[in-house]
Amino acid sequence: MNRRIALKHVGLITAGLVITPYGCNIEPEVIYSNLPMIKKSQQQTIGYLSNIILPEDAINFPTMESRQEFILTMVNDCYGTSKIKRFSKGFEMISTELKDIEFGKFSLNEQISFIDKSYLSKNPSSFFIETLKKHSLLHFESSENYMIDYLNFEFIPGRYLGSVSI
Amino acid sequence: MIKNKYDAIVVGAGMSGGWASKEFCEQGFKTLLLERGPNVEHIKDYPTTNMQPWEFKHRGRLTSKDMEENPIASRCYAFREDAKHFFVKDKEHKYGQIKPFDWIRGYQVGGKSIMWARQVQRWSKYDFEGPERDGFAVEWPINYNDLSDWYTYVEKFVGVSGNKDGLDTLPDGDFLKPWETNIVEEYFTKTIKKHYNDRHVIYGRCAHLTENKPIFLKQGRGLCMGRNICQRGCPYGGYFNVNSTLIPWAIKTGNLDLKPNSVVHSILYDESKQKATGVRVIDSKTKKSKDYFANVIFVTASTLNTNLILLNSKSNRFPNGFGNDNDLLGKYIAFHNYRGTISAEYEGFPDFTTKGRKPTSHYIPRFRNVHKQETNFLRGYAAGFGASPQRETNRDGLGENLKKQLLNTRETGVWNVGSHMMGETIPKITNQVTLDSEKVDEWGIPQLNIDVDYDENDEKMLKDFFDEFTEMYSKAGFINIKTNDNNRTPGNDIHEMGGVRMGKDPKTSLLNRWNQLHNCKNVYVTDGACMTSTSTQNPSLTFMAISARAANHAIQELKKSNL
Repeated sequence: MNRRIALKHVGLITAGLVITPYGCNIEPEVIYSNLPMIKKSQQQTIGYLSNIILPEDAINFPTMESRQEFILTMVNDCYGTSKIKRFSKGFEMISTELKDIEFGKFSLNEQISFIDKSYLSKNPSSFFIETLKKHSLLHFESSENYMIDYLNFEFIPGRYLGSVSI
Repeated sequence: MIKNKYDAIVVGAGMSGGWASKEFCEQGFKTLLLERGPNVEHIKDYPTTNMQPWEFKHRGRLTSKDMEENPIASRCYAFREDAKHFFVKDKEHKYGQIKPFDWIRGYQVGGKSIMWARQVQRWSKYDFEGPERDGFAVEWPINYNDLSDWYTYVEKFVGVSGNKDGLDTLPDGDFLKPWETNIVEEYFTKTIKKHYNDRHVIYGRCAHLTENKPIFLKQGRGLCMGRNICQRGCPYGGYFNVNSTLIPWAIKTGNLDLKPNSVVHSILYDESKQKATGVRVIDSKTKKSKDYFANVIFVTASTLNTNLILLNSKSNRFPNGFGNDNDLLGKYIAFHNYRGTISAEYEGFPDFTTKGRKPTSHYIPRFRNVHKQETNFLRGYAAGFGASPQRETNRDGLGENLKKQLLNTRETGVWNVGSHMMGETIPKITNQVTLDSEKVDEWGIPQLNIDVDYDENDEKMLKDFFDEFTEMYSKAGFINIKTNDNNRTPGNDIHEMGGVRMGKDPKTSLLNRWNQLHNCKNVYVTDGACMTSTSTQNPSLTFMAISARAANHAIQELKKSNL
């Protein structure tokens, strides 16, 4: 896996952890056609939140794209109109709450607790968190090293053994 | 000298047309092979074949645009991010659904042979005898003995992995060695043998190369590597498709003229000579029309397109469609009932797992009503059987704990097992296709209207599948048994057949025992449209054997100047 890409992701994650909505301008802005209201700073918030939900590990489990790119691509491309509306509404709700409570000053456990509470709530932010978690899991579990080392994936197995002792 | 003249024209470069073309070309006949879709060259045109799972932008999922634009194709199990480019875009190829019908199509050289499931089983004498014994459809004009040598001929060329099981309900073929069976498949096989005399669990015969033989090396094909991503096309030629095998073989003879992007509008008929003279083709890109001529025409455009072409080929002699003196063209369409599935778990082998992959599982040949009518429904069903180790991953919670749980993923020692039903449906006159009187496609060809549905026989068969397999699974000690009616729309099985059925009597059928139209002997139909009944087997092997047999008949007739 490309070391340069991996190191770039480490840089982004570090920046996201320290500051919230108003990130630095290293990356050009990506516009998602079905999520035009989610600008670069909000995209970084999504990356930041997903990293709390499931910590990225670009060194041991590098991926072709960053977690936030993957999540937004999947929502933008694979969600229908009503799901995108729910996602956007949930994000709007959470963003407001994050601003109100100065989320960046919370400890990691407090941040996890806050996200968990949103996830279990019956309001729109629950769908948003659920989406983040679902795609964070997919991104992680489909990464090359995870698939090969933990799921025993072989691209070209060349054989099938039907009775292997564990 | 007539321009655009060939010895043979073959319409459709799929499984059946590929075979007919190969036979004609090998024997020195100049052959025009027409395909409405684009060319797909083996290896060169398999864009996703070497992509790893993590390289797919959507990890194999379809986008919402894919689903909106392809509401029918997206219901097909193989229409995913890695192979969707081999399916037609629904919005570009509309058809009328009088009743819901999933018409799954692959318009390219190779057709659906690129994405097929590669399961191959011969018909037995019991399958051919079905209509006559049980009083439906019409008697087949051929039987197993007429086809057995052609099955062997095709199997040797294609490469079929299988076991010799010695069952008269599913004749053995010329097989390459099988893949290894897993411990639960073996256990279930033995259990069923212990409890039943007439039911058998056997290795699923499949069109994959498991041994090197000179013929395959000559074809330029290598062994199957068990990647199980066949629907993308295989760079090794490890499974059979038309692109890796039949097309290159025919091209090497120097006798094949392959013309992709050629939509066949109709068959041309000469009233004075009382024979077909050629076909009218619309260039799919320029929309310009051109006629091609030949002594013999094989219509192998896949079942419903073959029906469409014949229905659209009207003349003074055939005002209702080509060869359609008895008004049966387009009628008696049938398919396979794939509605039933059953799943369960087995805890009996907690210390075992599997390594690698194989492209097939196990198969249970039809056991109902084989020797005589015994149930409250006609005919019967075959079924697949698969078993795989279960994996458990705790995805609860958040943060580092969640990550640790993911890294602790493990196999549980419990096995998932399951079967899916493959039921024969009874061809009925009410299940039919017709041409729309007003709507045409962008090439000026009338839209096809499809009026096909399940019936009471299918519902009774489904119930029997649930009852019998629940009993079989229970006897094997499988637990948490769940049956499911997936309500698959007719056509979603992708085994539609009929409409131009074979038979002995021109009053009740369209084709004779050599697949010639009764009323126009130089037109042959050998794809699924020719099928008088469907039985339970995956049909492609039978289509190929019929095509090879009919092509060789046509060749003999050409040599005698009879066509």
